[in-house]
Amino acid sequence: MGTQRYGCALVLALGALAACDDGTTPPTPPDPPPPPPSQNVIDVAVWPRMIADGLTTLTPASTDELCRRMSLDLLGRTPSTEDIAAACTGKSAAEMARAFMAMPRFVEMERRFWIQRVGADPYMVMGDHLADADHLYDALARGEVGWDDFAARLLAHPAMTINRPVAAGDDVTLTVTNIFQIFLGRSPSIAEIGDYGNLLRPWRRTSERRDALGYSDGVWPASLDPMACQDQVLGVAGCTSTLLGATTVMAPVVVPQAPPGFETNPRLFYYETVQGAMPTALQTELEKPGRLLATRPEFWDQAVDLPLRRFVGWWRSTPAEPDTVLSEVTLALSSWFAAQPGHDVRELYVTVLSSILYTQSVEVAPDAGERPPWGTGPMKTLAPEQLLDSVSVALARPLGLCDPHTAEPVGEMGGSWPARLRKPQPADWYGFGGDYYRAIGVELGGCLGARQAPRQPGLKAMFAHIALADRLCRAPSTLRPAGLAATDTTPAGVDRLADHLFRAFLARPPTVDESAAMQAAGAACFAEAGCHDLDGLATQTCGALLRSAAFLYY
Amino acid sequence: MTISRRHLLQVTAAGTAAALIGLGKKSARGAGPARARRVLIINSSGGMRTTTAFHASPLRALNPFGVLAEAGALRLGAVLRANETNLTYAAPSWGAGMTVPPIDQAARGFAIIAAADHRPDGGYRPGDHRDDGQRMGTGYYLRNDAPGLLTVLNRYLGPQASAPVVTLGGSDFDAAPPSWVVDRPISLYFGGLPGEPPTGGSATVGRPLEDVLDGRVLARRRNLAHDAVSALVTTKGTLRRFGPLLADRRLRFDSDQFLDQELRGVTNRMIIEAVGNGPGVPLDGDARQVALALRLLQFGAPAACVSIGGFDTHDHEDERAPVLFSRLARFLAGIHFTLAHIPDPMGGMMLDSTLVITTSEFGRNGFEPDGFNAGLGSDHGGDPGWRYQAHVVFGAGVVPKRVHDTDDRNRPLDRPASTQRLLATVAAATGIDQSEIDRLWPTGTALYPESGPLWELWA
Repeated sequence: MGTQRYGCALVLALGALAACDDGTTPPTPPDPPPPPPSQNVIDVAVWPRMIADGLTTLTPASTDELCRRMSLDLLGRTPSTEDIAAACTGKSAAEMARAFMAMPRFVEMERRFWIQRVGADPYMVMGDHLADADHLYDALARGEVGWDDFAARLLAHPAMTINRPVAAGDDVTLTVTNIFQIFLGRSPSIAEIGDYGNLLRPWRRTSERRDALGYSDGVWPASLDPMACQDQVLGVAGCTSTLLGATTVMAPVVVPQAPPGFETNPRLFYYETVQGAMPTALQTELEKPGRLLATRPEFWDQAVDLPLRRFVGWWRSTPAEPDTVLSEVTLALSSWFAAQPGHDVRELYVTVLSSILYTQSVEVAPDAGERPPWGTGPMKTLAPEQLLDSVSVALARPLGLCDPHTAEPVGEMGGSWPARLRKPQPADWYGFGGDYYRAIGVELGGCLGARQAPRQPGLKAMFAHIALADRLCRAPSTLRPAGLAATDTTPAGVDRLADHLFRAFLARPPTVDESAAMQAAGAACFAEAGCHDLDGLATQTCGALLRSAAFLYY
Repeated sequence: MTISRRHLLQVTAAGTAAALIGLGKKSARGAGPARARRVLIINSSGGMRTTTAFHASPLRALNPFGVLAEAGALRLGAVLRANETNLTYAAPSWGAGMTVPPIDQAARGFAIIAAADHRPDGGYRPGDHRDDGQRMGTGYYLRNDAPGLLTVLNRYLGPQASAPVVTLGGSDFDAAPPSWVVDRPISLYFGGLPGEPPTGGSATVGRPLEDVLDGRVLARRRNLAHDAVSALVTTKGTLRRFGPLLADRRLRFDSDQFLDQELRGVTNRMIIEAVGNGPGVPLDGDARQVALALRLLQFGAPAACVSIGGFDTHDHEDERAPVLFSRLARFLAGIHFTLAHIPDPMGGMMLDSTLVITTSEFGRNGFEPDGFNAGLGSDHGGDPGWRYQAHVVFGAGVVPKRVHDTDDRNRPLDRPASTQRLLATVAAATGIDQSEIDRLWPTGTALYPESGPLWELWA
């Protein structure tokens, strides 16, 4: 009986209108649950769970909170005053997302994400190939190619097809594993490695010299072997996949073509001779492996899992409840995205970023009880580059740059990543020396090269961060707002300073309790010889903000 | 950025807080006075082949390097002194003509638990690093609420201490599930100590403001977000509390420029000589980690764990083990020497009040006929050499003896000691309330079938 009633209640709670006849006359039926707050596919999918958890009254994030969250996710830094005005004020979450994604910085962030995700570095793939692949990442971020086309083109590109350590030689195990991880979200079986590896058979990697192009070490150009799929023993089977979907046979028509002026293999077709402009028929043939993967449902699951993980974040989970606990969200979003014309990832991002999983406030009133992870907005930790670039915004300084293609310091003339491909970062960042941005980024655990595993610098990163805060919050940094005198130690002066610094670092004004704390800090400061005026208070406030959880998480 | 933890307090004169830990504290079970003021764990990471080392088997399959000597209760393997090329024994800064006695002399004062088993009921263990690492550190596998031993020690001993509970090198001894996040000990590296106290801000202006900011966030987060902020706040607390100590040059073993730094008559040079990394040999990072741990104990740290890597010798063990084990043995001899020569501010020498124990996630298999697998190494999982570990214990009044002995094939003569009993013994020896220990590792269970701590080590 109890079970039946529970079942009846559950049916009602889920919004179904089916009769619930358990042989008893139910009491007056409860009000039907409210409908989902929007028709966003994620909201609709997760709404039954919200109803079951009694979470139908949600607390949306304030504009300030959502704007900072979205700016950090899409631009990699806290929003400037101009960003807030242009992209956030008076806008819905979807409008915010579109406004941020229209900024050039978004393309740069997506490029960095993909360079690190693909994980090809110039020590195993010729640098020019990697620079060429950047155009693909940019095209995805600009909506010029959809997800499936992007996958097809990237899987027809040397950045993926010869992407493996030099020591692996012709063994494609690591290449196939990387491809599966990126586009299917899992490792391949042994059989799948062999099967998919057949489709990579036309590709070759050789060790050659290109000194005239600025390389001082040997490079690893990609090429196509005209004879690869005409093996007399294997025949067509050597270039055929049968396990992953429809039988797929690679039969590229390849005519040897080598760059002039270098010692090359005349029997190969060198990718660099057509870089970025492959003959259409050959390109179509080479895209077959990516097209094949796109026929698998898991390809679309992985497409949506990437932004869900990036934007909704693992903080939503508990150790006992991994992200996959919201499988209904992944499945619904995956089906929706696969059915979208064009498969524009920006639309996918908008859907995630305007869903209730993202737009709720992360804050829960101190006296409120526990909530499941999906009952609040996401919280993530600032990555080192996000931290440094946010400081740059706060202190009105140029943003730094760690070149994700290489782990080498700026100014290093590495033989595999020539100077013409390097993007310099602002010289003498904050007056701390030419390579300071990268050096401190490394100490904080960031500035990873394409193939570097994440660092776990632990307490050392904390030491570095505290030292950084101490340095940044002194001259030459300008912390006082224009027009506010250092001698204005009145409560109004402290309020104005607090408002200026909180907006600069946290993209919001101080709360009432924070304002009170600022007044108390001001009183303590002005009574001390070493602090004594607004400049001293600004230095202390800047450090406190930089070290605070309010800044380090978003 | 990656976060760890901290708290506030000026470091007082070293050793004074040792009184607060208290050797006189009674356990709830009335098992007698606390036996140790501090604990040092030397963890061999990767799976140490104890049948070649401190509980050396006479059988070649289990010990291809042979037996060096009987030393008190221990039978030492020849591998423990097989390659001392980069080790020093001279200790002139301790006194003219002084040398550190080698392991075969030092070990006469050691006890050994000859057979310890993570699953003493004989149940299945997958036998890999992940599961047995957890079992060694926490006593459990796949228990999301099980804290590591160092985390436990930090909760109960850390608040009163004048130096932090630390881990040096990775292990599961600092595991900290959500309800233990604030107790997780800090992780240090000898080459990564700060030059200035890592606090930031003034005590009257910046830090109170920072506390308000943190407190507001902490109060308004739930689930892992709350745990993450809590970890940050705790780390800050630890750094404020111990910041001046962490920047103290007497902890610096990364450069010769700090060799003459001294604490109560013991210089940094003396400590590195003691642990075998004196002048004339290359800097040994593990030796320096051990030196840092010893110095922190002298400053008043209630517990430290040094993990020494490289013991997962699946191949080329024939070449690697002599270096690895000779270093480990030299470190232990040096620890014994150092603790025996440094006075404890509370009376006696530090060796009298410091419990030292060796650990590892598991032992290693024996191989017929010559002791090595096809790669001239050894694997793990499935036989007594792997399953039953020998742990060395000394200091804090431990009586040199052998308990839970085995036969030559490393099979327990009676029954093995449980890992949980080992962890509970260390905790109880420091005076942690027995009822708290019982909650973590209840007796009379499959994982802890014994009735209480291993007090016979002191009998």
